[in-house]
Amino acid sequence: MKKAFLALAFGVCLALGAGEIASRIVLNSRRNEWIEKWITNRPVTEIDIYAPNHHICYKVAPNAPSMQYRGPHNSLGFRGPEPRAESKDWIRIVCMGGSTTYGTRNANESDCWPRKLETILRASNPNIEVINAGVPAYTSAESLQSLREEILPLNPDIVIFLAGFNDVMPRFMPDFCSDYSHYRKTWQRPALEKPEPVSGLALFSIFKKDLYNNPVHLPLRLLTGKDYHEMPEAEVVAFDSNSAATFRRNVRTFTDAAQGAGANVLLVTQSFLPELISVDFIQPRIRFFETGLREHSEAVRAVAKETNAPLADLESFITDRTAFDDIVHHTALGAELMAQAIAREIVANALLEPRAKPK
Amino acid sequence: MRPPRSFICILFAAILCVHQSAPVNRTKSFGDFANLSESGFQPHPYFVYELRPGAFFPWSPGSAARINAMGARGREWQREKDVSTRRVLCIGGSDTFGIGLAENLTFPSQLLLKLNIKEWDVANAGVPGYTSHETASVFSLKWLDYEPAVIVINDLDADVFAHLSERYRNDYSHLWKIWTEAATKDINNKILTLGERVLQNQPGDVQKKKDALAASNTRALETNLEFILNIAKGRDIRSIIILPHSELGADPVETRAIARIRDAARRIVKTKNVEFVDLEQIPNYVNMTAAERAESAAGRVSEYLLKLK
Repeated sequence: MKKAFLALAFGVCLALGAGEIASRIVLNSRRNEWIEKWITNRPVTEIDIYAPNHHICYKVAPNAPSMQYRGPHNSLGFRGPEPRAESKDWIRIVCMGGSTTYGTRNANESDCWPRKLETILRASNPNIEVINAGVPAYTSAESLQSLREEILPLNPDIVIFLAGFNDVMPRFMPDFCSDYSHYRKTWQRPALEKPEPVSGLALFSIFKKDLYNNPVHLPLRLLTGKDYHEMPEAEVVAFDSNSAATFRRNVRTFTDAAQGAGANVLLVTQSFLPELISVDFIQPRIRFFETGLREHSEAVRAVAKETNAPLADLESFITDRTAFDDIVHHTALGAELMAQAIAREIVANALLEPRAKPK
Repeated sequence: MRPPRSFICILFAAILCVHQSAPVNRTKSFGDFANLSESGFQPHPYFVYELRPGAFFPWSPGSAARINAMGARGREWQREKDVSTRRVLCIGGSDTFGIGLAENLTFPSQLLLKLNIKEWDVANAGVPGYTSHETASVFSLKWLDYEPAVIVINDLDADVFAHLSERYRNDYSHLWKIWTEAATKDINNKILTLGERVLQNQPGDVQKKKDALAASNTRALETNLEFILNIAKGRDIRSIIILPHSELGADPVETRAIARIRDAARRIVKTKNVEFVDLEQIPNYVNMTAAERAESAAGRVSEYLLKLK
């Protein structure tokens, strides 16, 4: 009996030892198909969707993978179906802006306001295509760059531009630069790193899903934003020194460029409900966001007047709390209300009438 | 026997004059900017790179470029200006910036010399190596704030660098790589050049250039040029485009590429009805020194500006 017990104990120790050695070999192996498979089959995180860009800082990668509330993405890196081949019989509408347009709180692409707009407009004219070119966290600077590099080459008939929220953050970051280079930085997608040599029992680590120190969990803001250590007093000074002038300049530039290229431009002010603040980063800075959003809405109105661009003034349009998921993002109900309001402006301003496109 | 002092002075002055007016290569080297020290530049999230404020480029004794606090070459100038002063903004690449030229011999400086300094202000916003993508970006996101009355768009031929590089893409992402590190030296302690920081592709031999040219197009250039002109028009800013000289190509392929850019620019000049200066209309332009070319182009531009009310 004693001998059997000792033999069993010896066998168990031997097995554990062998397993430990084998686990360490596996973990430290450079080529291990099993681990590589974990890398490729690991759950998609938000950063997998974005790619660095020379002129726009970042964009959604072409055919980027989908995850909940993100995607599907087409070959242009836009959320939604592939754009149609250009045709003079079809009206192409491109919706630009940040996460409100992209629909970061809409699980299905069909719940985003651009898609709902398409459904509404197609009731009277089936030959209308709406492209959702919104990208989460885009400021007016990224939208302007995207307009030039990606959108104008699509020869849009109508460009709808909704902006305001994301431009608040550059205003309270210190050392303001009007090209937002104080706010954004160049970046590269972080590489997955193989784990450090394991201390302790490797045998049990081998089965863990979080085997790797996975830097791709970093949020987009930390990857594309300049290193920033929170300085509340400096933020107050910065915000009080920086007006909405740069935002207004970018919206005006956007409108001039799009109209000059022959597109009709419809400007949209950002609808928001401050009482729905929930994000930790925003909550202590509520004054900046409330004031900034109102100033940016004023700027959009001013540009619409200067350029004779139609305006969908949605700042205080939606007051139903069930239409919002947070301060600026909408539920499917909110997206529907937005789409209806924008569709009304499109029809009221005869933007769907045929126009001669510039050569 | 020692030569007289006056002879030495005359000899020194003659050497200096010869050096300043020494003809650059007849053909423009598109990669000139790539050899510049990376320490004179810094990465930018929208322009690939930009001039580093306070940087200094010493070309030779008596000839250097200093970068002001705004990241532009030349004297410090303020955003605010006299209401009565009309500002001319010169945007473009290496020729506008004036690689190798003393400050007073650059195109913007020579333009200012030909204008009434009490009525006009000329700013050098050229950056070595900038293609039409970067020029359009920096104009719309930075220099618009400086309220130019006139913009002069130069160095359209800089896009040839992209047109002659393999795997052409309209956003020029085949040409540029993203500069993310701050260190100025590589792991071997060698000081990096700008090209090593930002270029991932360059034109190859003649056959590769031919293949690359066949695979590229001028759509991006046209979109970028129209973008600038439309913004300018929206703000009542007058625009002058300088059409490049196609014979400045280093070989027949480059010449063809520049000619294609000229044609594209001329189409836009016609449809947008903007003023232009055609470098091919300047007699003997190809055989001039860099300073002489700058002066000739400045002369043509100033003729137009002086007619403006």
